[in-house]
Amino acid sequence: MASHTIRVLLCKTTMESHDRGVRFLATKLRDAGMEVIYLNFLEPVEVVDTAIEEDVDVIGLSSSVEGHVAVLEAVTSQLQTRGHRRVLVLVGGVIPEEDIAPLQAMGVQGVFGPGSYVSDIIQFIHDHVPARV
Amino acid sequence: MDGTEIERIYAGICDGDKGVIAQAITLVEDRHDQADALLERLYPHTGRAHVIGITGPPGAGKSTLVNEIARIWVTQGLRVGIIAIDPSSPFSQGAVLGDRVRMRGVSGQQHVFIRSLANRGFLGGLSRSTADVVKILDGAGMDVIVIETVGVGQSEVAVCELAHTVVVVAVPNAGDAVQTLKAGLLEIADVFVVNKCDVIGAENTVRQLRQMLAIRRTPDMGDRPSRWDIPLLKTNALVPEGVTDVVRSVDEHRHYLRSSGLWETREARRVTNEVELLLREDVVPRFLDRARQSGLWDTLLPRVISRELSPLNMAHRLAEIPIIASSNADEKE
Repeated sequence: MASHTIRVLLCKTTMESHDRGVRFLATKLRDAGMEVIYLNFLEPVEVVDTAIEEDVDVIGLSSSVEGHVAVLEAVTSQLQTRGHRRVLVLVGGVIPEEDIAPLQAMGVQGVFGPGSYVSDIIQFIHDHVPARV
Repeated sequence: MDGTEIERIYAGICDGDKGVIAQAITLVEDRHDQADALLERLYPHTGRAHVIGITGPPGAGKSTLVNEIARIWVTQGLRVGIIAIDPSSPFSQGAVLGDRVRMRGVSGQQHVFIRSLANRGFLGGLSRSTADVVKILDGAGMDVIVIETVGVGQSEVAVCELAHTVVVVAVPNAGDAVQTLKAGLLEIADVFVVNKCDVIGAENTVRQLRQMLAIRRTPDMGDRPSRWDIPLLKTNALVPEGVTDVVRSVDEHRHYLRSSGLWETREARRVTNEVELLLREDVVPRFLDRARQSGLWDTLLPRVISRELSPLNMAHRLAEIPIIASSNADEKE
């Protein structure tokens, strides 16, 4: 059996123009050998629909404005109720310190705020991506 | 993963379960060792869908056009499968798959399934697994399946070996009339679309392509002109403008293929191409392994080195080794 290529869904959580960070990450994940399904901005239900159709291993959401806690809550709960296999959910961007614990409690495994290194994100994905049968 | 799991996936595909369809696509993409068994199970239930290739240079508006075409199909009650292919990096093998970003208008709709694929080094505008992904979507009951190729140049024409109908999307101002004489991409169109028809120079491009088609239509001695008159359409997919004409032409082409018997010809061509590819990429490498591991290889090699035999002679002698191991061959019979 040939090995599996890690597939990552990347998008912003709200309709705004701060997409330099997510485009930067898309390029770096590409260079790390991953397949990135790049979208500008999606509603939570669209994130889950897309993650299911694209059969991704990782969902990475970028937030540079408010609202990410509510969005992530919706995404993680829908992933659970729709019985999708385990997906690694990450969030990055401008994430205040006090949001980290609630995000982790709802199942967001990786939180990458300002000053994060892409190499750490890549390592985190490799360490935590759910295994395929 | 075992036989019962394959049965579960097979049943899920037939039910149109999106999660299972997605999982099956990953299996064939990864060339999982159970993928062949699944495709064997599925194959008798395929062959219903109209497969449409959409190809053209990068940035021509293929994805935007696909979105608008699919939107119309959905209102007609059709089930739509979309395979959107983008290139893999020749350096990292990674990819950014950005077609879906233009397809938000139909993404998530009940009767639409979109999958983004990286070409994973496969040449010709498709990915290695595209033919198998088509089978999965076909088996899942899609009425139409769109294959959007990677952005192509002049010679990536593999999509015409897989699609019943090929739509070539051209952009304005991509060269003068000499470009339209050249072989390759412009030859494979069943439907021509000039997108971004609002930009200055679009009329010129349309005129050049119209002349090209007129030249092709002019019969020379002995030519039997085709009954299919390749339509040349102008669109502005962003508006959208002219897209209903594309949908109509694609459907007319399907009727044409069906009524003229050419559908069967194209099916034969598709299967022939696929079997040839399998022979080249699957059977031949396995035969090479067998040949190399055979004692014959080691016996002949020194005789070639000493110039007693030629390399061609050695190859011909090796070719007499049965392609399939004898125990396997018995099973097949």
